[in-house]
Amino acid sequence: MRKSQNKLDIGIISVFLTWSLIPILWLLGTSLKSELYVDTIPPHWIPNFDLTAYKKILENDAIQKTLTNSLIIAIGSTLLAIFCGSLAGFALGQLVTKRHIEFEFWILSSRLAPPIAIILPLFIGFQYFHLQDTLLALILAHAVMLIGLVTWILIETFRAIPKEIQDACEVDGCNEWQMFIKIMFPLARSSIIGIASLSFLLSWNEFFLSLVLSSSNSLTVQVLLYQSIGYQTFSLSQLAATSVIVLLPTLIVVSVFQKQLIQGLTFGSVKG
Amino acid sequence: MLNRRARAKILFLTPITALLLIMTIFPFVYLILISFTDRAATNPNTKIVWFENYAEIFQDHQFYQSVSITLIITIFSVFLEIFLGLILALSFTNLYRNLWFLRAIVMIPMAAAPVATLFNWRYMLNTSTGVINYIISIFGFSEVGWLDSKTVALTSIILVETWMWTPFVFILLTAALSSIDKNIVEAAQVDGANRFVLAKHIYIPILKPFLIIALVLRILDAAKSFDAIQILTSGGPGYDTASYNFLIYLNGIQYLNFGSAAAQAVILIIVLMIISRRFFNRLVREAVEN
Repeated sequence: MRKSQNKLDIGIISVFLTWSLIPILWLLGTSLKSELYVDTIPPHWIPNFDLTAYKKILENDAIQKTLTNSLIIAIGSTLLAIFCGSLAGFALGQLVTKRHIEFEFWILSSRLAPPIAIILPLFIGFQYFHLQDTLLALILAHAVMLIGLVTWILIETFRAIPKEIQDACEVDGCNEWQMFIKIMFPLARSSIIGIASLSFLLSWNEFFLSLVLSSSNSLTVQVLLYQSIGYQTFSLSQLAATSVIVLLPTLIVVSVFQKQLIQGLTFGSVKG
Repeated sequence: MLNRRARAKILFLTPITALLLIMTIFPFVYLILISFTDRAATNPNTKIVWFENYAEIFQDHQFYQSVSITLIITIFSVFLEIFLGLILALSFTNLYRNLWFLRAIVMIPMAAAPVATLFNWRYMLNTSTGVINYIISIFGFSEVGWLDSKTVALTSIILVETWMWTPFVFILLTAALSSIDKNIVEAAQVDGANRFVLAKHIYIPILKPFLIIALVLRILDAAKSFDAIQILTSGGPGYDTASYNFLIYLNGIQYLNFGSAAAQAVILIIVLMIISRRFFNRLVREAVEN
């Protein structure tokens, strides 16, 4: 009885894993094929492990530039979100005696609002201030997208640190700023690293805001990849190779920072 | 005169407040203001038109079409995601092995860069050279234009959305299930409870609040989904797969009709706020209880 039930469970999960993984494997396979083999009928199921596509892509100026832009934007917006979020997390998780629910939810609501509602005025505003198509505009826009989630989790992180530590600090005569920098931030470090990695990933993967706000100077690799689909600039195997490169941060985060990924994507409703 | 603690608190909350004010509150107020004007890139003399933009929305047949497309995509994809996510979470919990590796694989579709995976789907769904049409041709079916006509293209979008977001429901539910006391489950099994009895009397009641969270979060996200539509069909053929959110994008960013797009966006915000209110109330209640 037990055995046959397990078989059913294993069957269901195998089907699901196949369905989740096969498109990714197909993408990886395509990136490893020579151009002649990518859109043949019948398809070449096994790639011929030709690395030309990767070589061409990594030597391409446009790809290099957009990868650098994406990296700068992801790091910049993550730093900004962590800076604002950890200060707020410390204030709302440690310095208060009772929770400021209204304020906390105001911060979270920035994540639930539809991006189109914010992007339309930002699109006009950035043009007015001559910030359209600059890295700064994208860093700001991505930071706002991240801040609700980052702060929400950091409030929980700081709240979990025992309040007695504060008293001990005060006896030693440190003020709130020293308490934050010397004691609390280091205590929350491992959690902050996890959330920073998640933020980096979300900014790196982001498509909609970047599509609207960047056109040439601040073009991200995601937008370049999108623009190249359907044009002859890159071959299919080169597009697939770019996609695989773009997926690398994902693989790191799902394997190393799984806990924060789960916590972040579900707004902390489960602990992961 | 504030004491030092209160001053520190205000100081620490200043950066986030400034960022949110400049980047969300001001833009939001501005959005409402321009929704009462006829501002557009092609229109140099902006004037106030009050509720004209709003009135026009409800006269536009495209509004009703895009809302029905949004509803179709949201209802079908969220239903499939919750249904599949629940079955999978229960199967996973029955087995109960070390979850780390399997979870990492399962999470890839939702954690991956959407442009990369959606490009790949578009390539696999291609009518003449796509691998999916080749596979179904082996089984004797004729070619399907996956992204070429309204019904089929909407089905493709729904399936790809389901592929991306079933992991979300699955992860949320497995995490909730892993907190269940194993002794209760074993005791029930000793009493002869089979999988359906276990699911009905132990798992589902425990999962109920999490199913609601999953439902609300998925509805909120699916209703404003953009990436799949933009990359798979660009709203086409014609406007046949243009959801409401996508229509606002076209109107505001592509055609630069700021005033009218702003009015459309205000309506979207109001609807999403009504949906999320219940969710917020619940979270507030839970937060207070903790």
